[in-house]
Amino acid sequence: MTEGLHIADIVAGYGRRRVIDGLTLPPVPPGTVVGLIGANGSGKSTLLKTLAGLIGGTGHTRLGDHDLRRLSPALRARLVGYLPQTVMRPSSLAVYEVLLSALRATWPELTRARADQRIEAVLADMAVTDLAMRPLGALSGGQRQMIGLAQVLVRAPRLMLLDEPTSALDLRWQLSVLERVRGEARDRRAIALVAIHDINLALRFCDRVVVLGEGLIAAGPPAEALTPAVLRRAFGVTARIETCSHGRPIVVTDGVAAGAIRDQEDIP
Amino acid sequence: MSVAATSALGRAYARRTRGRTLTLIGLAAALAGSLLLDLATGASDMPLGTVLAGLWDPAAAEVGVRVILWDVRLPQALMAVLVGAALGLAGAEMQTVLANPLASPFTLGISNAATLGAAIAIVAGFHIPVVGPEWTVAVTAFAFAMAATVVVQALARTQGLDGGGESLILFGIAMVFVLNALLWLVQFLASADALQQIVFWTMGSLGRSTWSTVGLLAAVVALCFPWAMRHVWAMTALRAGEEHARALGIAVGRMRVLVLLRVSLLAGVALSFVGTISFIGLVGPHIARLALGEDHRFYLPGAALGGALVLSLSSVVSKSLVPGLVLPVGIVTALVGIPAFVALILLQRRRP
Repeated sequence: MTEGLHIADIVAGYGRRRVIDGLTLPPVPPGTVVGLIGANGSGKSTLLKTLAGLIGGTGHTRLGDHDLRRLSPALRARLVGYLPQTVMRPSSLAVYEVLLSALRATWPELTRARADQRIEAVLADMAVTDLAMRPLGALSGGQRQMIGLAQVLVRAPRLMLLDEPTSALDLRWQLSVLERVRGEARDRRAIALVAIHDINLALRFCDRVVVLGEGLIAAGPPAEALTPAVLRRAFGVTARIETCSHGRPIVVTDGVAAGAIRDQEDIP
Repeated sequence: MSVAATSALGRAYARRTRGRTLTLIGLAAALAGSLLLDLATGASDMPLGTVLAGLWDPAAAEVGVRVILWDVRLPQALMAVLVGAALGLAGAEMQTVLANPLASPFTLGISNAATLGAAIAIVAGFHIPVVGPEWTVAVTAFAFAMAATVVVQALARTQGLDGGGESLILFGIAMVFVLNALLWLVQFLASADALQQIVFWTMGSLGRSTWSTVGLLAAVVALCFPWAMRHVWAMTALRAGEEHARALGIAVGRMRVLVLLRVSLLAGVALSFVGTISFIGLVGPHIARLALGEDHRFYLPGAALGGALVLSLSSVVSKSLVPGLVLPVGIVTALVGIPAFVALILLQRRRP
């Protein structure tokens, strides 16, 4: 299979410190939303930055026929949309200008009318059309985070790398943003890698999850990969997977597990 | 039908764009008016009609009018416009790549470095062989301004700037103090004659303008402005944050090097001809940001026009404040600029 995203033997870090040491993931087919789960410092952001080409590293990363590590910056910016964890800085730049400059920087050949249409469509899809002419400085942190995501979606990348896109959002917007990301993946057969802290959101919206710890802890469909043992190893907590009254799995956390980090023998 | 309905936002934005174009035209018209006013103001009375006639047909004008207009006032008035435009553009670009609205050639010590260079050249009294005596001070000032930019550049490279580049501004203030101390040292060692020259240089004056310095600065502005305009989209994207811009495939580090190179060229050449003229690089971009926003297609020309307008008006004020006396224009810009600077600091504090 040459389609989809292939990641093998990635080694990456900052300076001399290796955060990811030889990570290999199962191939990801097009149209898939993958949730990246793991404790703070487990390498979620580092993995996303490596794939986005923002930090160096070694290993194989292929998207379809493209070797991600050898792409020119211009082509990479078209194929790969990375949303940093840091929210956009407040400035007097209008939301519309943020999206327009993103399009101009990545798709310079697009006509003005086409660019306008794309921007309109994305803002309407995310239900933030009323923010279009407001300056970033007049928006809340959560609103700026959504504009950051809109700036990724407007470029229509084949691989979306989203670093905690819902961290500043309230409940309703968390749902609608993830809904949008999933729709985007389905409609355009794009792949989304989403670093996410809320495990129940991951259970609900992701087709697959990847649990990172000291290396790869588990990978697969969320209901299979997220077991009490995996959660104990990844976060050092005792947790149960229950079924809610609608029949969906939910994770209930009971507390911090004693000696959980060293106690790994119970993982097969 | 549906196309018309979905492009409402596009139309709203096009309206805003038209409004900004009109604002730019308005600024340019104001600048033209200020330039004429500047030409009509001076020690000897010259009505606007005489100025226009003398500009239109120099051969028909009286000799006195022709000499005053073409050899004295026109180079000075054009110098005010060019220096203002150069400093405004330099300040705007600097604020974008250093992510701080307080960055400018003046606040980061670049103009102080130029002053120190000029003072050393005046006191030492050396001549750079090829350059000739009348250009030596300017060339030395330029070299010092360049060196200061290299230091700023090195610091910008080692420090992360996504936090607002506060350490950079503090470093700039430290640099201003160090350079001032060195300037005092040079002044202390200078002869009375050299001291007078240094003090005059420090106050910033358009009086030394000649057609050759005007021509050289015009060439620098004509080179740097279109060069800057080629990167307007990337600079606009950078305003949303460095990581976001890098994710768009913009080579932020490389852009920062190029911009600071342009800034040192613009500010270095401008300051080396007129001495210390403060705050234009801060006020020009601020006017543009308020009037036009930060879409760099409008922001950069707006900052250049804003800087030119403020310096041109300052030149008019410097000639008309005390009848029969031309004050150094640097004094006027400092008095106008300091309130603006304080307002900027207070506004920045209020932001979350």
